[in-house]
Amino acid sequence: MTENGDDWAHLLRAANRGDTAAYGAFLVALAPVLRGIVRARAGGIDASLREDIVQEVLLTVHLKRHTWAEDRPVRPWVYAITRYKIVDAFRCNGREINLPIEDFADIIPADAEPDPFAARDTDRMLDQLDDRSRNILRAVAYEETKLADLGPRFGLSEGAARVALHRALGKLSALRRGGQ
Amino acid sequence: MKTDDLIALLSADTHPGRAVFPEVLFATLGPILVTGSVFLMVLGIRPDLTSAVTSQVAVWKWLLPGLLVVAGIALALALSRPESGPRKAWWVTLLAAAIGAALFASRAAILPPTDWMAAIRGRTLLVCLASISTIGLTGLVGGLAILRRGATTRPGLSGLALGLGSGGAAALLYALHCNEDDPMFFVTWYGSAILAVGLIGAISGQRLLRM
Repeated sequence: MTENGDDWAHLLRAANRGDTAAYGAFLVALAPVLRGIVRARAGGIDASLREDIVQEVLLTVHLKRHTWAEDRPVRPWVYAITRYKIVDAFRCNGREINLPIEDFADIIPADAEPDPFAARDTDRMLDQLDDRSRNILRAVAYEETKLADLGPRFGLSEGAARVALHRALGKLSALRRGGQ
Repeated sequence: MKTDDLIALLSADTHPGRAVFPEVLFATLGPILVTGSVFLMVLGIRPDLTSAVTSQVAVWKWLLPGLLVVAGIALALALSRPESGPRKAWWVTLLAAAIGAALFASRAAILPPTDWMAAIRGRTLLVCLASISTIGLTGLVGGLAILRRGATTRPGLSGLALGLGSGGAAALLYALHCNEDDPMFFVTWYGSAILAVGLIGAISGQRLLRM
């Protein structure tokens, strides 16, 4: 499992060429690895807060995916973002943490906790979004609304719905940063 | 929201992020060129420009800021990738500072100490400070807007690098007007103005460039 860096590059390259299934597979593979790192390095934090950090990293990896260069390995890029977010979470709790990034590769991936009523942050931030952004995000996350169906539902063209979804995620990320 | 729901959400967003390079170059240097040209139209270009650029001392008014432009923008770009480690280009900015200090010291060594204050003060220090910092800030603002697309793990350093580059580019243009060629003048005041833009960059980067 820890040697799958090349698979990730493969998936992300495909994702950059419009393969949404490959992108979903990348995120699904990434989540347990992040969970393992956060559990190993931020053990003092309780489980649902840890899952918040995992979600925060996933959201950031997603919004910043264009800063990964296709000819570079994926793992150092992911680890750098993860490390930054863990340090940030500790700083917000008023604590300092020293995280040697070299250790990240040896950490065993972890499954979600049996009852991850995670991301209370995400839901709290959702409530603060403007109505349309919130409704778009909820429709896609909870009702599995496809991008093509978003447009008619919100009175937007498909292109505009695409941009609206992207902007809503950007706003969510900004809220999380500001709200910390 | 469960993590699986978030992943579904993220997978549905197919809108690509926008790259930092090369737009950050236009966004930084464009405003500097425009405001710099306006300042030069008002202030005028020094008539003896051709002899100044070949003079052994005055030529540093372009070489030192030039080093900062290249190093500062290269650093800001490199830092916009999260995995970038410590960068060697910081040594270039220190080299520029060291050369400036050496020029200052060698001039001070041949002037009697009673003349030092007058040499530092020069005649145009307020115009110099105001012009370089104003021109530089326009580039800093433009560049920061694009740098926000990046993923720096050192937001303060990123802003500092961009600010030093912007301040350097502003000094480069201002030097086309300024005919004060005493290193005790230009090292002090060009340096202060560039550093001021760099510090404003560091402070605003700390706020604006956080992922």
